[in-house]
Amino acid sequence: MNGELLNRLIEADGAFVRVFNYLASPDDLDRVLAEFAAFGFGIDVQGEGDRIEAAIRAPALRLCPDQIEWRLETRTIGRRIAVWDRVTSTNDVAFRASSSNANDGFVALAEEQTAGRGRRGGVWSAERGSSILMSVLLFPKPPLDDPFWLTALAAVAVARGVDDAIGEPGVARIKWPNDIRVNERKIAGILVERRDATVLGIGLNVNQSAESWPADLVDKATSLRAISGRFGDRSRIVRALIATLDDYYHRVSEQGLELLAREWFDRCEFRDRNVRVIARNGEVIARAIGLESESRSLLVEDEGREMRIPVHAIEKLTNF
Amino acid sequence: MSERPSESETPPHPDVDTIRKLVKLMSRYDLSAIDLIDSNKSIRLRRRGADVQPVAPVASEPAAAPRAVPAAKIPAQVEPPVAEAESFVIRSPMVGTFYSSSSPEAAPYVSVGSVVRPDTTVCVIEAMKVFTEIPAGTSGTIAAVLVKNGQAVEFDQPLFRVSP
Repeated sequence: MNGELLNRLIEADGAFVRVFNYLASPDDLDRVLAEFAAFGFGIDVQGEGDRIEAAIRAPALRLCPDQIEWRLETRTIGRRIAVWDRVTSTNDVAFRASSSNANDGFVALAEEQTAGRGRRGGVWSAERGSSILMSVLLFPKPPLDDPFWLTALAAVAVARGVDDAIGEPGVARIKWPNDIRVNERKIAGILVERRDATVLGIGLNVNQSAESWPADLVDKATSLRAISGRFGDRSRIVRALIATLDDYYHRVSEQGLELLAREWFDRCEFRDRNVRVIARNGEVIARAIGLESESRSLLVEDEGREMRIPVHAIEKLTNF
Repeated sequence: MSERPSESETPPHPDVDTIRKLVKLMSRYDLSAIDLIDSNKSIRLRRRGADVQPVAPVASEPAAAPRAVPAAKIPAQVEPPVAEAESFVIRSPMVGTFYSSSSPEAAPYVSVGSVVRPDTTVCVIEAMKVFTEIPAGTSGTIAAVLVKNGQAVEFDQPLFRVSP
């Protein structure tokens, strides 16, 4: 695929670009356009001979590797990317690459999962081609070898991606422990699995229409398109998400958990609200006032009295 | 494509230029096979990807022979006999590159002797950097792997033979 021309067209953002300089020979144009069409890009062509111009009218319907990877200069996450048509689960695909450390940061994406997983044995299902289904293979060092913090990192990165796609900073909130919601409807989920390596799985609803949800989800789920009214460019969103994840991954590895804990708590739906926390050794109703990175605890306050509840002791947490 | 030196007495046949032209036409119109039957000659051309091969060594009947019955006499594409009828062939649903495992370091999905069910993934095909897992589509035991890892495959090309 002609990645250079494709990305020039994407940069031009709908404006016409002279294509001649991007072709090995003038006869190449038909083949190049056929390849763009295979991914479902909407492309307009005008002019003749060496004055032929093209413009992108609509983003690709399918995930496009050459769009995602083009000059993606991340350090770990996304150094290798593989886009799959249909898989059991992208987490499975990522785990299959875990025998070699050279695959650290490998990203598996799919149009369709036949056995997508959710938390606690739940199922993650998504209409084919509608979502971002993505898994990252990692060999994390402390503190990110702890699934709680890796989940938190992904939650913050995905929330930023959702904000950017909708164009409204802060609109995406984190619901304990692993969901991203907009207006209290789920838009993304995160699942970290650990075996010989760690796999970070992300599911993000992009182009589901409001009508396409099954009845039991209609009040509980949403998508970027349902909110913004626009058909989302999944390749562009994935590319941005990979860059954000990689940036957080390195900043947290180098600077520690504090920045992550702060951003995570700012994004939390229960920030400064009363919550009921069921922990291993009891239950408490109090106001959530922070997440402390040093003690790895949720900080709550009740009638002037502060308490620290270690995140790993929390079994259930709900708004009260 | 291989050209056979013509036998001493036999007239220069089939006309090599004709074959060349036919091969070009096949490629242009994406034909996979042509049978050409002339009174006493028959030619079958079959094409697989870029690798074009005239198959039958052209049953050249002596000029004086009675009208030949060509089709039946052509040693058709050498197909494994008998067992073929009972075994199932998994074919490529698309044009692309065949991979036997999900990543270079991973073990192959299946090898000869592997037991498969209809939903067992047997290989992946990559096209324009997008990978597609190919299910067996049948139950049985892998009897033969018909393509090599990393090989370019055509639409409908046999990939595996499965015995029930």
